[in-house]
Amino acid sequence: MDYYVLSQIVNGLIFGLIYALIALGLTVVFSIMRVVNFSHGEFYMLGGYTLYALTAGGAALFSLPFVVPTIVALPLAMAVVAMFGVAVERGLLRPVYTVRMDRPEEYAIILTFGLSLFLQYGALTTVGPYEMTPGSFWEGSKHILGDLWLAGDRLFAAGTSALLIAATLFFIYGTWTGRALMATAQNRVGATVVGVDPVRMNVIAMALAGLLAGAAGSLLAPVFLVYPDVGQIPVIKAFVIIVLGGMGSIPGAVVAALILGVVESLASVYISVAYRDVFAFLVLIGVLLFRPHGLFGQKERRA
Amino acid sequence: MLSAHNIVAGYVDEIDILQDVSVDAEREQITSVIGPNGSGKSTLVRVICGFLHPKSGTVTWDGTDLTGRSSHDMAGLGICYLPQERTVFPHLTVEQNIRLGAWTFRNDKARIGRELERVYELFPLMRERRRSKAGDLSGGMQKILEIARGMMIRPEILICDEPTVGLAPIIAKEVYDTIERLKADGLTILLVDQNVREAIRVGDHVYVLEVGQNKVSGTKSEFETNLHDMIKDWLQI
Repeated sequence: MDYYVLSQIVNGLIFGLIYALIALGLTVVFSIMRVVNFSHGEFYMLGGYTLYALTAGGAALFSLPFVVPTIVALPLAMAVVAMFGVAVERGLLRPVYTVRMDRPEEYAIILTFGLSLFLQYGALTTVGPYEMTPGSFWEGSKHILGDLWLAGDRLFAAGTSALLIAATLFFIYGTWTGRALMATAQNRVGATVVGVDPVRMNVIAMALAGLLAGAAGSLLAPVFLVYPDVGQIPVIKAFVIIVLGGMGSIPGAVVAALILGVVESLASVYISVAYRDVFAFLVLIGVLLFRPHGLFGQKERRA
Repeated sequence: MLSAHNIVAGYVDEIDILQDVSVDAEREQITSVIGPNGSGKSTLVRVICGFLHPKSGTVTWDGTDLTGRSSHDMAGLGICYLPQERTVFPHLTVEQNIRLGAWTFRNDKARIGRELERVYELFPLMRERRRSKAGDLSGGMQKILEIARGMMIRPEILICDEPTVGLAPIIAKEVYDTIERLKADGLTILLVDQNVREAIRVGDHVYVLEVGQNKVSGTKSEFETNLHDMIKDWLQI
């Protein structure tokens, strides 16, 4: 195998890890709240802009006398987007659930769609369509082996993503709060009966989604820069991933993200790089045709 | 004593499903609430368990006011609610389901171990199936699992809403036997049921609701003799 193909596979895995971060938040929110969050891509965008504002933008736009080191700005950006997620739950989604109405999820979905447009055009009118360059996490190219070199920022993004995925899996499977989240996803009334506050679980799900999308947006910001619709393509891929992995399946989302990353990279090499973003849709159509419950999805057993 | 007094409640402003209903459940007894479809039985337990806030009336447990408390506070107050629909976590194992019953004292590892052992002694079948996925159990076993999970908190009250609806008669009998066994262990039980015969058989005290109002109430013996006439009366034949 030549180093070009190897580098494509490694790059595919790197993207897969980032995709997994985005897809995890989306799937957790969907499992707990039954809401497909169409503004998830804008959570990602906000992560990138926050990182930019803290590292380079603050100094450039407001002539602040200091810049925050990128590595410090990352957790701050994650926290900002997590708080934004909580605010969206509290301000926009919760009222939909507390007022008695038919099919609240559908109203909530339209709300998140509106929020997505609002945030994109909000960014367009306030900061403009320009691509912004935040500070770098790890400058330069790193030598891996032989002819394989990788950008430091990509390596940093991959390593941090892997850590965050591991932490998320531990949180969900290894802590009481995580088990309560799973329980709420599987039977909301059952969770309430044992004493879990389902509204608190909504808040935790949105905070987690914001945290992970904010991380993904920040980690890729030095690689792909930041602009108003930067979150569009990644979030569409995240949707493909949760269908491929099985709606609501956490391990499914991680595995499917890695598969999609590698498929995209290899298809770009062997077929055409111009169609890079199309392969995700081909995967989606294939899954829907041949395995509609996804790789790890559980077929509902209805009573 | 668990008391619901003068409850008026409904899901929309104009329609009151419950129009002034009062029920008292004595300690360590089974109180059955029966009535035809649409009489408001399920609405009554939803009000008692905090899933629906009443427009007026009070709910108290031994003098503690429960009116308007949140549904997720009930486990912490020692109240175990068994809703009509299935509430097991289908993709978790039986043991994971039961352990989640310990949510209100989740940081007390020693206590969780003790209670789990006690629950397994009460329900030996659950120990046998502890590694099965809850969703793979039969409907009756899922109901028993729900009761087992609820027993983790050592509740003082068990509130059952039609626990045997949709179950085969032989399995339904097992559920009623379980309820009677729990009463013998000192639990206060409020049983809402459409299975009139069983509800009267296990009940110490029986209430009959009709279109959101108390119709009659009395001890089990009063009902056993009049059952035939009463049913005729409900069906208006």
